[in-house]
Amino acid sequence: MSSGSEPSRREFLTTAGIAVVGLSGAAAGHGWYSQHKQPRARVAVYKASSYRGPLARIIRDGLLNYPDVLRRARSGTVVLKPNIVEYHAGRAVNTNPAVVAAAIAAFRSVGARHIVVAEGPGHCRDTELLLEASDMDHAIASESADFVDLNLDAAQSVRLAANHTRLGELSLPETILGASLVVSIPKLKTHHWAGVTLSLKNMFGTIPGARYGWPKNVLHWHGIENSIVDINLAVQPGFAIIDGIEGMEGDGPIRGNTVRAGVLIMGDNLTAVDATATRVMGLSPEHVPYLRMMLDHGGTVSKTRIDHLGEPIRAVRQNFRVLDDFAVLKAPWKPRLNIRPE
Amino acid sequence: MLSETLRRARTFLASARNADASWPYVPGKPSGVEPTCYAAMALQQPLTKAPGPHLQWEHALTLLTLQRLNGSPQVCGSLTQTLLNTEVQHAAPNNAISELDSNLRGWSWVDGTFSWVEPTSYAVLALKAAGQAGHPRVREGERLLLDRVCFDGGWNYGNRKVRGEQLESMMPTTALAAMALQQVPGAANTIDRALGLLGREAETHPSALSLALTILCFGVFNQPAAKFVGALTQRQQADGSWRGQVHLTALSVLALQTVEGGANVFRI
Repeated sequence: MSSGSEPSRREFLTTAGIAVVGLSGAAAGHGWYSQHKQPRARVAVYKASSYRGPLARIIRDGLLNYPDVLRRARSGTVVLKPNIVEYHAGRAVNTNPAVVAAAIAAFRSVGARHIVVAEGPGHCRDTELLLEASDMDHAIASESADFVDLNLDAAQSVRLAANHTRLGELSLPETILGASLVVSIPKLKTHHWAGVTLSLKNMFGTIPGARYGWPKNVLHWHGIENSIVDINLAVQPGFAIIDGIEGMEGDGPIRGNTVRAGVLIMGDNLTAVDATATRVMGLSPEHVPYLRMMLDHGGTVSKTRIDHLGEPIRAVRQNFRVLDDFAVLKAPWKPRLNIRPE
Repeated sequence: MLSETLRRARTFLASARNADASWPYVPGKPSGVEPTCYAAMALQQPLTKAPGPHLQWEHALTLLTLQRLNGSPQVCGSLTQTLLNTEVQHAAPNNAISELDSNLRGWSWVDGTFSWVEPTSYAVLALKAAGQAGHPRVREGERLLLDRVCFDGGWNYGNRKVRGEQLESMMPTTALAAMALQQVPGAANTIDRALGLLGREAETHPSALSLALTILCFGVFNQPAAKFVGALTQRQQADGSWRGQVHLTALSVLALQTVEGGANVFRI
């Protein structure tokens, strides 16, 4: 145990397997369609028309709805995990630096004392180039925060509780394991392999490239959906802030078109946050396989189980284009059988 | 001026060394294969303790380092056989989409997965340095690299197309792949295009990693690299490092010392 009154995340994560397996077993027994078993979640949706707007205030307003997140933020190191993939001028590929800077300021304003921005870019190992070209370096420095390249961080093995990938364990960076709170700050994007890439998929970037390569191809071989679920159960991110001021439709996460969605989406149940963001894009989250998988692990997808703070979805809903392979995401969810869909 | 830059960098590297004579990516952390190999070559110190290797690219980088530092012939022989006998998956998971020649084998990051440009480049370079330039497995690796040249003349991390869309090249992979194609008949035009791309990108999107590898790549092909030196040295921090990272600092030393007439570790 740590010297404080609570176990550290490192201590918790090494013992969390039994609890998560127990949860998985209980949920599976009730079946997919028993949506009323999904824990009630709250997701904050706020309009934000520009990266020059009062983003820190908006994020702070969102954070104040989550007392347990505030407590964790004040108790140790907050790791902010943006989505930095590749740099392409004029494309909304990466989390905008203004959102990251605003998140630093917001967490600091609610009492967080140590804040680290951390990312392990999955495609390009030239992290310096990505930080400079995207202006993320400047944004982090302007808020006097530190940056950690998770691709190169010292790592420890963590046993996989659900082990959907059959990898048995994953190497996770010490920066992630030592955090009191990991915050996923992704971009609002469609994805050409996974359908959508939001706060859960963003956790791919916590896996160190020095151990798994660039790209982290072994995770694809074991199933993108399986990997997303395993990584999130291992990392246990506690909060998400989705940068939907500008999103990406079509051939995301790199080559899609920019959509000015004008929204920030936040919450402490990442599955519920992603489900809400998917609905904001005009898509049906029930059709996203990894969101369905998260139902067995405490996630919430059903809109009847999500309380929306701030704006109602209808006020911010967009009509994101998807590739033909994911046309099903455009279809309304109409469960006809009381069985788990494949 | 350059000698002072190198002195400060070497001082940083010496101070970053862990007690077991290996190096971490960042001082004070556990050691890694990549920083250990580059730092050992930059300081010309024997590779007495390599933390691994476990992955294919780590085998290759260790072999290259041992070749450059007159390492044990037995260890070099073992690593050579390991690399030559490595199996990878032939086809990409979405080969029809990627439009690659699925019959070609290179090397992957992690055993049992797809071949990628960077580990293939390291393996080809290391095996050539170990006297295996004519081995069919090396020749196949060269063909794989030639198969994956992007539309703009360099290399992405592995694919040149995804879902029919052309991918842009990246500088580190382009420099490594071009160097791996040394002495390959018929590759001159490909190398010329890669050098042209590196020269252009070094001016618009410079970084320590890209600049150091560009200098080394230009040096391998006897092209003047002095124009990139200033941009690299300007990035050195007060502590003598580049971004506080051992592998970037060591690569920068290896690149800058070639400008002063030192050996180029990637020259075959």
